[in-house]
Amino acid sequence: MEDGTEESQIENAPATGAGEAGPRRLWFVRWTYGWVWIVLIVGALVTASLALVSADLASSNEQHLLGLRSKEVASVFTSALPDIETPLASAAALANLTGANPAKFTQFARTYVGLPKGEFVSMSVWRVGHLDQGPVIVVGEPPELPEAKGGVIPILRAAERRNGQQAALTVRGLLNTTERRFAYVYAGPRRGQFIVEAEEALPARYTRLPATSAYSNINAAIYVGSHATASHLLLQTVHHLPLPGANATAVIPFGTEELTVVISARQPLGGTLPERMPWVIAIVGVLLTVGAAFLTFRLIWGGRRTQALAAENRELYSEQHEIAQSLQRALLPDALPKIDGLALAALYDAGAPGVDIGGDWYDIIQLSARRLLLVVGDVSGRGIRAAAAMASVRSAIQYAAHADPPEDFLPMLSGLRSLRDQGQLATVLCIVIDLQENRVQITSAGHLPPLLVHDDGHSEFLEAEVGLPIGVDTDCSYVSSSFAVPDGASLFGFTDGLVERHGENLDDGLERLRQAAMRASGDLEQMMSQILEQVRGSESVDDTAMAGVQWVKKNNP
Amino acid sequence: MGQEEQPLTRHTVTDLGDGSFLVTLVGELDLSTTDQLGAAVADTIAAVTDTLVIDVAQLRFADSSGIALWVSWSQRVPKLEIRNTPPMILRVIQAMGLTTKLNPS
Repeated sequence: MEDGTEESQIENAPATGAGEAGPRRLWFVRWTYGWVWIVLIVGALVTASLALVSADLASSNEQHLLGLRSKEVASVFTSALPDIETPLASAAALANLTGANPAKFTQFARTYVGLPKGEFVSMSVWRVGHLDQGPVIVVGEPPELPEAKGGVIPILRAAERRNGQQAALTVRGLLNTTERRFAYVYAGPRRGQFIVEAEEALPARYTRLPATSAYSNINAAIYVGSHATASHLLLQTVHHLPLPGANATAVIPFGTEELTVVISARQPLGGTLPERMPWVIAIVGVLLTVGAAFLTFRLIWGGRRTQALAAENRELYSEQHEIAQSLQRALLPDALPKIDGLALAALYDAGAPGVDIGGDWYDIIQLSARRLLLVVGDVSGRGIRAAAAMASVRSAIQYAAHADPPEDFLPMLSGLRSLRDQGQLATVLCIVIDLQENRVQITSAGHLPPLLVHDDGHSEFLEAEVGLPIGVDTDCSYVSSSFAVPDGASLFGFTDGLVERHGENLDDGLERLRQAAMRASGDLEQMMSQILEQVRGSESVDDTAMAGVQWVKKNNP
Repeated sequence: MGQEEQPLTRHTVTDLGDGSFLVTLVGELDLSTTDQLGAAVADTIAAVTDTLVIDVAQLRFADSSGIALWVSWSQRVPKLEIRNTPPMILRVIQAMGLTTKLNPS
């Protein structure tokens, strides 16, 4: 009946396990995704902010470079001024010295006026104080300055006013006249009678920069004046304004005039790497984030799976342990005999969890009305093999003990095939109890001695001669030793699992047992469980069997 | 498994020539390591045609199952010698009644 219930429990166990695994899996899948989402979001945020910072850095760097470049372009114009000022200053000096001699002035001015070698298209001399009478001398084409908006007078007057105070080049862009020109008016540092005006032809508005130019990587638009006013456009390198992309503007003085230089980059000035960096960061960030998310998923999934497997293993294990225990129980006596004047008790402990079935056993056999045999034994090793060998040794003893005393049947047991074939051995302790005389006869086949605990708590091991364990040699002999036991005393046989500890001498273990037995109280069964609890190492993997007998005091009521 | 810190038994095998072998055991030999050691040394035991020497100087612990393994070796080789046995192990051998049989030194 009991077997039946055990079996049905075992069958039910996996079903319960599977039922639990369902909701548990859903739970962890939800959480796995939760963590993966967190990793993805954090990764995306970090990536985005890094990419933005990098883009910002690249663009501010680019803007900085663009600003530098615009100043560089502007400086090209500024550096051209001395080349213009020098001939004009010479011309003004000549005109004043010669009293504006037309022949001498024309001879001088020819060097500078007219293509191909001259840079001016026109050069003219004006008399201070008589500006409205027109030029005194004209070399080259007629000056356009008088036609320009506002006319020649205000500009020349301005130059006239400065005449003699400081050397100055008055510059004027003539952009809306017949021919686009720059007009330069020079008034010398020393007050003179004449001032010189020269005009330079401007290139077409749209000028394409050659690919080999140092400025081929920028677009530029240059205006006369301090503002980028469309009507004052001097030069542009693109067909249509405004310039594409980010612009940088530099305003520079150009004589008395100002030039506004607006440029934009055709290619990134800082190279393509800073420009591409945000993209590189974004792509690497996305890859890393996805990788981390995947790793997180795998880690959590792996962890959960390990936990699930561990739980499954524990379940399987406890099942196995239960099977092992019931098997072991089946191999040990179900009930102990009831004898007047004696208390009998026995226990089996499988050892640390994780241990299956062992080779330790005990047995109490009534041989006759007068004699009782108490056996404690230990087949080396663990598992089914040890348990099977134990079962055969135990039944062989049950059979043989009725015919022969231990010292006679023990040598025969070494011939047992179950031991010999497996190379196993068994230690056996036989205690024959004489029920009439309070005497015991002890025979040991390689077994530890039993412990006698007196009524007053004093205890001692009953050391009999120790013979070979069973299974070592068929040619062996044993000697029984006889001991008297007082009323009220208890005698315990046990296996080495009780006293063995790593790093401890066997005698120390035996002494621990003796001390614990002296302290033990209560009935025989209680004493045994106290001893087991106190003596056995918690880390022990070995199993333990223990059997005890107590001589009840005859004068006890 | 729920077992904490499984003690390991390490061993080295030395061929002494003429069918004799030396097995040196280091560590702790108990129920949980006996089977592994038995399996690991099985081929050496089978190759012994003269003397099997077991050096146990560096063995800190051996329980009855470990000593049972040596007994099973002794049944399969012509001659067994156990050398440098620490007192702790000598005591276990003595408790098992195997002092004469194994004759440890």
